[in-house]
Amino acid sequence: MKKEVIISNSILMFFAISLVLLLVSFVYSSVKTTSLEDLTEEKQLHEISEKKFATLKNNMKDWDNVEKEYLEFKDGMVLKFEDFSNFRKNLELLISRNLITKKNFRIEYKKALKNEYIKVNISMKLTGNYESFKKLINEIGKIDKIVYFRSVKMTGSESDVRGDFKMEVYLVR
Amino acid sequence: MRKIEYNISSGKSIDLKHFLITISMTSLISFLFLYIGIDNIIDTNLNLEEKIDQKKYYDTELQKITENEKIFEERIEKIKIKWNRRVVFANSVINSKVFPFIKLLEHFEEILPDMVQLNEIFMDSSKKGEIVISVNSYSIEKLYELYRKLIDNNLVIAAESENGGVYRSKLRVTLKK
Repeated sequence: MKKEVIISNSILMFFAISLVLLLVSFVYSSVKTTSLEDLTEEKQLHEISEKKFATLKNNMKDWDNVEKEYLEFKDGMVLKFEDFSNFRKNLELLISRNLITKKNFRIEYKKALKNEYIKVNISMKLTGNYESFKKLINEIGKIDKIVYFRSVKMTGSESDVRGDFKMEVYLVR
Repeated sequence: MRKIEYNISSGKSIDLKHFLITISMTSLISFLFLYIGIDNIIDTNLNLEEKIDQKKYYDTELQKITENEKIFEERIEKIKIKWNRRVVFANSVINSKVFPFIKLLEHFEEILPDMVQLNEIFMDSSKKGEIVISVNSYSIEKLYELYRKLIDNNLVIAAESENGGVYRSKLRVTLKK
């Protein structure tokens, strides 16, 4: 009888230990899983940093090219000082070809960007009809140099328009 | 009187078959618990090691990225000091060059109702789409039709007057380019 009691006690003890171990393992697992979830956040953080870095890399590439692009702009899009007289002739031709009458023409030269450019402000008072003014604006827009209207004011009826135009031209020496 | 003594366990014996079955079942369940518990701990530890390795990888990568970011930012800053002023200038004149005067004029031609005449229009490329117009209308309804069409363009009625059935109005609107 005593032998059976010892066996049953031992088995009960074994059962209790196994049960405790099982419960402990679940608690351990859940605690560790919570700490693993933090890693998911790190993974996301890493992905965000990688994306941010890729953007920065592209940004740097752009800035590395900036000198080349700027010189292309300066050489290709800015009118040379010696070509300005020719431009003026063409502008007057464009005005007369569109049957626009020139009333007043004022030109003002200024230094721009610490003397790197010369900015020419051209003020024109013109008369003509609405369609011819539209043509003039369109043709100036098509010139592939930095020549543009700063402001356009048109007053009057369709067939008799008074135009007050302000143009800006940039020149490089 | 003699005290009655009775030992309930005397003469009793354990049902060996029943005892063995109970012991076996309890042992089996205990082993199963033990197995699941140990397996769970080992599994968790393996996962944990894998994740720790990953964490180390992320930390190293993050550190590399941060160091490179610093180098790149310094490089960009150096280039910016030299070129930013010029880039801002170039972008600003290119923006002025592409200001859509014709598109804006055509927009007004399209929305102007009958009996409403455009008297004056002023467009300035530096004013980000702000346009001032003066109109003459021979009908108040048509004038309001024009207001309705311009209402989503930050319409400001700067002046309004009426003379001999002709309504004059000076408007300021901001059109999207």
